[in-house]
Amino acid sequence: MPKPRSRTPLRVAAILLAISAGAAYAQEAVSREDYDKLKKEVEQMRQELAEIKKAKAAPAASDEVAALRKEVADLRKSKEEQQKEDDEAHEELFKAVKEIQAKANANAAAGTKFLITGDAAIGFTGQRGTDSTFSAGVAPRFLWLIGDNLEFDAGFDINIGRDDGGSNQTTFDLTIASASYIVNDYLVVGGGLFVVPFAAYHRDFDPPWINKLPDDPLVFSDGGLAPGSALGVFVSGTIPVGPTRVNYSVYAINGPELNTTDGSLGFDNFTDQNNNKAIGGRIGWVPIPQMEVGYSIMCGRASPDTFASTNALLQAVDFNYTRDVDWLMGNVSLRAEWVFSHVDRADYGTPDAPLTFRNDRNGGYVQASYRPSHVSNKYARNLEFIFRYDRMDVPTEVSALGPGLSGWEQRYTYGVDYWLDARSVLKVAYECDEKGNAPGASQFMFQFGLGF
Amino acid sequence: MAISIFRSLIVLGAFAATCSLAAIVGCQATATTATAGATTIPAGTAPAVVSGKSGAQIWSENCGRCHNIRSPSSYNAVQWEVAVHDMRVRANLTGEEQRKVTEFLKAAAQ
Repeated sequence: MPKPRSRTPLRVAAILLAISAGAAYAQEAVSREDYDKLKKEVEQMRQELAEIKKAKAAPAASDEVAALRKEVADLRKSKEEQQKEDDEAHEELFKAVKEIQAKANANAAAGTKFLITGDAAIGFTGQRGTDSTFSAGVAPRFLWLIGDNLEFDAGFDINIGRDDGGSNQTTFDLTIASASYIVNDYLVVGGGLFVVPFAAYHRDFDPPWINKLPDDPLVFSDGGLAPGSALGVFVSGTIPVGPTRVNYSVYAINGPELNTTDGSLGFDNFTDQNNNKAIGGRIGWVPIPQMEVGYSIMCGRASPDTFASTNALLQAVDFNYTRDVDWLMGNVSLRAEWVFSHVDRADYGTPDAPLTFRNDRNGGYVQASYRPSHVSNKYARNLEFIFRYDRMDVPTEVSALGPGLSGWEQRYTYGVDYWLDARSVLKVAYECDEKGNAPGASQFMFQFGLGF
Repeated sequence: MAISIFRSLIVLGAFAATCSLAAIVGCQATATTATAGATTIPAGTAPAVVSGKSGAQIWSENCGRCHNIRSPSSYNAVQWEVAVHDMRVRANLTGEEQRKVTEFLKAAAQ
């Protein structure tokens, strides 16, 4: 049996090799101290590298900012230049518009300025003894201002109703056709068909959006004592007198025309029936802005050439006072006017039955109204409460001439208005009427009045 | 006719006295503020002459004595010029009053 070979030398060699390898490894390994040192150096190098990078990148960012700044500056400059150009363009445009506007104003001043104004009314009346009825009317006015001083005024009164024969009719009356010229700050001259400044009602209070009641006072209604419009010439103006002011009007007109059957005066004397012209005027005193007191006078021959010469003298006083009263929380208005008419004695009868009488007629009205315009309730402050007393006296002898000619008539009118705005109003009123020798004609009235 | 004139003068005198009394009493009332659409006249003892008054004040005092005061926007500038001119003739405004009121209304209308 062969003897196995011994493996001991191999084992020894392997051990030696392992030891030598371990020694070699042990000789190449880094100690902890070296490792930390090395790590520190690496950290320093990284830090230095970062700083280098940063230093290298910084100039690039600065350049970019500078470039941007330059770009912004350029843009700003460009914008400023553009703005300057725009401003110049706007200035030129504005200048051109101004020039055109000035030319237009100059042309307008030299030309005609025009305004349509006026009033309208829609009503309902239920009167004792007659059938109730609706009514409507409109009164447009056309105003032309020519230059700064000359004005032409045309006014119409358009109404519907029945004529004396009972037929339906539409009346179209020319009430104003006048020219007026401003001479200076205190003087106006004019002529044509104008509202006679006799008393104040027809001139100041007649339109339905100013008159607080649906009808006119007796002396200022048809068949009354005061003239409305008349043909003639006038001068008027206002003069400051101390702390007050005085209004004046003087005129010459065709004058009233005498009704030779009953002695009454008519004022539609469009073609004068005699060669005499009536002269008149009004003077008004305004002691405080809230009040005016006026006196009017007019005189002239009233009879036609075919009748005995008969002169008429009319006088009137008027008073208007309007103001806010704090403790009443509203506005109070007082108006009063009275007219005195005298016509010379004349014979209105026939040769067989002469009729003469003292032909004095007078009448007027007193009106008070209150509007609680300062209360908080918006409906209540649009209400207005009105009371008016009006009366007209005519000679009792006249009543013998016709059934409708009573010696006197007086009325008490109670009204409530509701103002829709400053120039449109709903009115409701009841009027108690009394006549000297005839049954009274009391009536209920409703009206919508509008100014435009 | 002489008797009639005499009687009329007596009535006129009594009327003037009544009005003067009303003016004195009225001057003691106090002022209030304006209400849209309503006639509004500030109270006080301010004289009736125009010197120193604004167009708005003249407008309020003179127009409001007879009727409600319209809104300035109810007319345009040219229309107001015509309207105030007409009211100067109709309601006896002075030239200065007309100019101030026109200026005010034309500015307010725009």
